[in-house]
Amino acid sequence: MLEQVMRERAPRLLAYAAMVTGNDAEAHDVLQDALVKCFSKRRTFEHVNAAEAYVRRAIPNVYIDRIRRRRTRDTADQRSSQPELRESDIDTQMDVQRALATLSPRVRTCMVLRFYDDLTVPQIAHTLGLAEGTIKRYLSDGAASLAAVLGMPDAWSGDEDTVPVVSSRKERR
Amino acid sequence: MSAEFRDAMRGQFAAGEQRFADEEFAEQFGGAVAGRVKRRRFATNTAVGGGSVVAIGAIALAAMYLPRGSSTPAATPSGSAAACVTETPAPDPYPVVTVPPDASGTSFEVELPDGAGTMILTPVYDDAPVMEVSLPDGTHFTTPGDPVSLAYVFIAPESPLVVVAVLDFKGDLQVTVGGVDAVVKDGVGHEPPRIVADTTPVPVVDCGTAEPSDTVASPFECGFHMDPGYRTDSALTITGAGYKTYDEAGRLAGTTFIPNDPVVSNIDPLVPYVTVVNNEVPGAPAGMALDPADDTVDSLVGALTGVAVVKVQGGVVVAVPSDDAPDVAGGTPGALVVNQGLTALVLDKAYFTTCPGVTSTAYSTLYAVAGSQTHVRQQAKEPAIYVWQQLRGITG
Repeated sequence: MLEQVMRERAPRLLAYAAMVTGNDAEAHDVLQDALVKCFSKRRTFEHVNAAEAYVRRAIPNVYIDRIRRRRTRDTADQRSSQPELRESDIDTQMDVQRALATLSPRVRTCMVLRFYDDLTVPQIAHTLGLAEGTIKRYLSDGAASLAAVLGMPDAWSGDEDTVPVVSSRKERR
Repeated sequence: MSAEFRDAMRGQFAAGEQRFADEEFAEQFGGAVAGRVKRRRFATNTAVGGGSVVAIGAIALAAMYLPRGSSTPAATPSGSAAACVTETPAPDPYPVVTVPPDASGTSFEVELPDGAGTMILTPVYDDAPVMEVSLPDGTHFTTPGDPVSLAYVFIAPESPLVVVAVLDFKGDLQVTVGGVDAVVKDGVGHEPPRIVADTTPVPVVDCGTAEPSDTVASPFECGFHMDPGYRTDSALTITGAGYKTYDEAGRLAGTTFIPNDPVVSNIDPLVPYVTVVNNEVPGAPAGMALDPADDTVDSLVGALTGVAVVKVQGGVVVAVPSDDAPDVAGGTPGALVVNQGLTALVLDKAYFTTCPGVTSTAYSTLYAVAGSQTHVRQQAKEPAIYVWQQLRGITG
């Protein structure tokens, strides 16, 4: 099953990991760690879909664990290694990707779990082992940062579950 | 706006999927991932090896290799210091015989120490792992294996010998009897090279001990002298005492638990658990980590059941649940679940408070303890009933 997951589902899992990490290179490392974590316990999966879903659920935790260990080893500013937003990027997806990349790891992970996986705040809190209030703050911060990066007014508050996003291509027209 | 943002995220996912579509992940990283999985399974299943491998596996398995009696010397009532083995690495390698992948049901002869005869072990691992055991005196029984580590631990009836058998991911069966490596013969009578166990006297250190315990009558309290193994009572039955993965514990509690300084291992964290059933008063009020004989429950009338996990070292309780251990599911460090009995989950090392006078619990063993007491009326109680059972294969 491990071999099948790697052969058939790696692009999807890498795409998800890239959203969570904001970095293609780190996505590869995180996916490898998640695969090792999920297949080291003699679990049996009836279908590759179930295995893929299990690995995907592990990715945010694996990433947060890596960040924690990295902070232990090196307290250097992690955001310094993240790509800056370039004015030449005009595609919406690239904007979102780069906007996500500017967020801190935990904020970015919360944003992906909330707006891609459609998890509720309590579910995100359970998944990441953080308090609900912390999650709300991260989501609020993430929405504000994205709104700023994408040139949008910050119309999202901590009590709402919406965030304004408009392609910069549309803005330039 | 929320929908737009979700659409944008899905668009980004699709773009990423396309971006990675031509990448041969399995070819580039498959070998490395598979190798790490194998090493990790090996490290989980055995305590043999060096460096990080020991760090992973030894936590869960090291105590199982210690001979019964000698590893947990009884503390004296006077409260003198208990001898405690050091972290001297176990002698290696252990006698190993390879069990072919299709050899479930194959019998292996294990030569017992001191000319005590030959024991027959038959691992069966088609579904839930079990080990069929035949002793030299003709006794037959079946013992369950741990589903994660595939380790089998049992005490031979009428014998002081603790038998540990570990079937690792490669199919190697390793057996230790009474702390001494046993000679294992495979199914066709081939004897692998005999490995002489290291008989160097094990240095000891002072691990401290609990305060004098002559007056302690409850296994929920520090200093209680615990009879080894288990104690049963018809009124109160421990129906389960072992450990679960965090996923399993979460499913049991109907929630999600995130490993946070787990008791057993930081790599493959497991949750010690105990389930108890009060046979006389089913559904009686119960409390996590609550001694039913505690004075604070005097106002209750009826039966009260308590359940907890404690650490025992040298036959004495050396760590008990913290006073602030929460009693709600999903809490940390402990959780309480009522599910066909009363189940306690130990989610975090902070569950335990080390008893006064104890300087180390590194070589303790986890015990499930439960108690029941009937309060006839206010201030009037029947004698408390206590039962306990060792959680096999888990060190403190």
